[in-house]
Amino acid sequence: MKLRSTTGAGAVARSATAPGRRLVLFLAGLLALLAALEGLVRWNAPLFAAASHRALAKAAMLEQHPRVDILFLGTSRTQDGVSPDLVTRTLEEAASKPGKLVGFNAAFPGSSLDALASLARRFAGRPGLRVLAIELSQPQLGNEPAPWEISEQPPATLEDRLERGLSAKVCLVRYRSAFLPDNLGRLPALLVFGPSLSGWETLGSDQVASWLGHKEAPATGFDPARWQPALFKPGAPAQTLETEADKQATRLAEIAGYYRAKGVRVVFFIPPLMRAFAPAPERNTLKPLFAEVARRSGCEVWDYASLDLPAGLFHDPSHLGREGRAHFSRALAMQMAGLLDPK
Amino acid sequence: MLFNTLTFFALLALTLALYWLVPRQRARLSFLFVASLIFYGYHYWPSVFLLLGTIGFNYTVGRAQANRRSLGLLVTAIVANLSLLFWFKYSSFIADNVNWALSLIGTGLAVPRPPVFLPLGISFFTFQVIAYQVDVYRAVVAPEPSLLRFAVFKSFFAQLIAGPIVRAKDFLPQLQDRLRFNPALFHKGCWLILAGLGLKIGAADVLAQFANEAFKNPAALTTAGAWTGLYAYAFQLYADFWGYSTMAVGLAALFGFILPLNFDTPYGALSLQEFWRRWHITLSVWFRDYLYIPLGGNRRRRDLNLLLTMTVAGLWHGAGWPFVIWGFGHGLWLTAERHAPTLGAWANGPVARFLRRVLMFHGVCLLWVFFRAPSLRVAADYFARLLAPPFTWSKPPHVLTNWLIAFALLQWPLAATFKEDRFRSLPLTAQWALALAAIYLVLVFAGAHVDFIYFNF
Repeated sequence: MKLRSTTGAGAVARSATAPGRRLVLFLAGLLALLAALEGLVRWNAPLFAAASHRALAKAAMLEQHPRVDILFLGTSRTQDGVSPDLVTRTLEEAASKPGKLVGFNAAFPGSSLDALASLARRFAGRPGLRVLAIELSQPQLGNEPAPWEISEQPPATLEDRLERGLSAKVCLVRYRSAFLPDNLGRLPALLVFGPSLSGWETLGSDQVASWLGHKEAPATGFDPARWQPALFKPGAPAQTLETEADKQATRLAEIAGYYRAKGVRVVFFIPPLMRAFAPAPERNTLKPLFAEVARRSGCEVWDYASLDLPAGLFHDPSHLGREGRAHFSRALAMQMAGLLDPK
Repeated sequence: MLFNTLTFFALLALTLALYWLVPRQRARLSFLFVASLIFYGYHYWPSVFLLLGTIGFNYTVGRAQANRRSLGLLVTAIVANLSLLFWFKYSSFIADNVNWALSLIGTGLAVPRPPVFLPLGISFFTFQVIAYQVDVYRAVVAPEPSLLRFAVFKSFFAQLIAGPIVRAKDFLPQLQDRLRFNPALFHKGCWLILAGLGLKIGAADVLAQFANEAFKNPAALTTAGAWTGLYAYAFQLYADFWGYSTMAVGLAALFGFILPLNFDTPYGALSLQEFWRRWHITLSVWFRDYLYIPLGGNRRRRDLNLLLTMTVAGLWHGAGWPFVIWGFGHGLWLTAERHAPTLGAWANGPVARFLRRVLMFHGVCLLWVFFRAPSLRVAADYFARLLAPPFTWSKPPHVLTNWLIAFALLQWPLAATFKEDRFRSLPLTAQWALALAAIYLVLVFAGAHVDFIYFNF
């Protein structure tokens, strides 16, 4: 920062002649800037409200798309692992007359069963939705629900009342959590790039690339035989589950039920894991639950966690990297082609 | 009432409007006095009576000195003011230590622990009035004839609770005549308040979360965790008190008063002596003028005077042995510095100066352990994690490292804007950018309502 000399004749003259004018300009300018910011927040209030939570941000981004055919819900494993654009491009190439398809990845890190149920209810009424793909995994089932809203206590002190009053009148204050460093990165996605994004783009560079119309490169050296998931079919025999798992299976079946009632095809999938990833309940203890979800919901469960995949496709033991995303997206598309088939 | 609350800003806005709207000085001072009483009593209203009693007593003694300067009166005033401080701040500490000694002897006796509360800012306003009484006795200032002016001098909310410790000779003359609105000072005041609030809410309160966690259970820390926790505390304390003091100077400026800045990038000091010329400057000056020099200063028993002064300074900060050791440690270090051989020219090269700053900072940080630890046992545990094997590594949270690096680098340009007319002479765009940055920090991180650390002293 360049500080002007306060000893020079010019500085002395400046500070001596116009201190009042300078004070007025400073205060008026500051108030004008704050008013402009307040206007921006007020004008985009729903987006600023959404920026305070990962799930709400994803939901708000989805709502910037007038039509979505294929929707993915899940945790960071799905967020990192599925490129809806690659899925739809593969489907468009594979199907005879699929038309233009639009996909969206509404998965977010830390998703829980509660969050899944909330988002699923919120999106159930969207027109045009054809396929809903829901991740099943240990974190999706086991995460504690993130706080959606902090329950407000009645104001007890003058300070509480002042805070409440200010928050009610000033949007900058009401939505101030949107400006927290962790949330600030969501604002460009919500305010600028939203309609161009398909949900997997968490990095600013990916968001700018999508906004500029750049497409992700498709998988190279894709081996369809390697990507055949194990299937849990709806007709499988009933499993005995522990109480908690039983409740989870029922909730998942209910979620699938909303959508099936609206004519949407629902599938569950278990994202790939690195072979060395341990412990991986998806490969053993959760299998009865997956089978039961398939049976109760009447939807298939595609298990990619049991596959033996090259470690190079992952950026950590439970999350796919860029190349892995391309492969998995293609594999999902191939599996989904049957769901979109009019037969 | 805290500076970082909406309630305070509501009171400020009202007081400020009334203050500048009324033309008469007496009415202005009355508004200031009433606002100061509300400010002080909001926390715990009975403490207002203590403040009023202190004002009445010290005004009367000061007036009595007007006719004939009396050492007896001065001693009476000092003893009375210190007795209040001792009763409220140190009686429990003394009782605990007496009981500990009695238990060692095995008498089975115990002194009851007096059930007293610690009035906010008692350490600060006690020192302020002692300075006033000494200055009156030394004829540095004339005894203030106006009770209202004396009451405002003693209770002005900007500096009442945690300083800067304002000297009568600097502040009372500012209360004499009706001040004209000074746009330049008001302009500076606005920035100081925003910046101070940003420092408190955006830096100190954020770093507090890490520092508190580190000192909660030091035994569970890795070596790296203990060091980063200590850095977090060092910068928390600095940002907290620097923020408070800066706000105090800014608040005074809104009313047309000039108070001294209390900090000048102390962690950039090359020696501990320099550190104390830059950290809590008004307190250092107080101890120099009213304890160190009366003890003999540099004229006789220099080392003993220094040790004693710094140990008392430690005790002033808190009634506990860790504070005493902290002060004594500073005294020892200052004494050692005085006896150290003069460094050669090599020590003033840029690399050597940088290394000296780093060493100084770490020395000060190590002594902060005593300042922060609630007990000597916790301090010992913390030192064990910092300095003793096994040396273990854990990656500090990004947020913490980013915050520490940002703060360590930005303190110099920020401090530069506080001096004289520097902020006002910046281009308006830079002024708006800085003000928006401060508002951003306040907006985003407000809500913790963490007390200013120095309110406890």
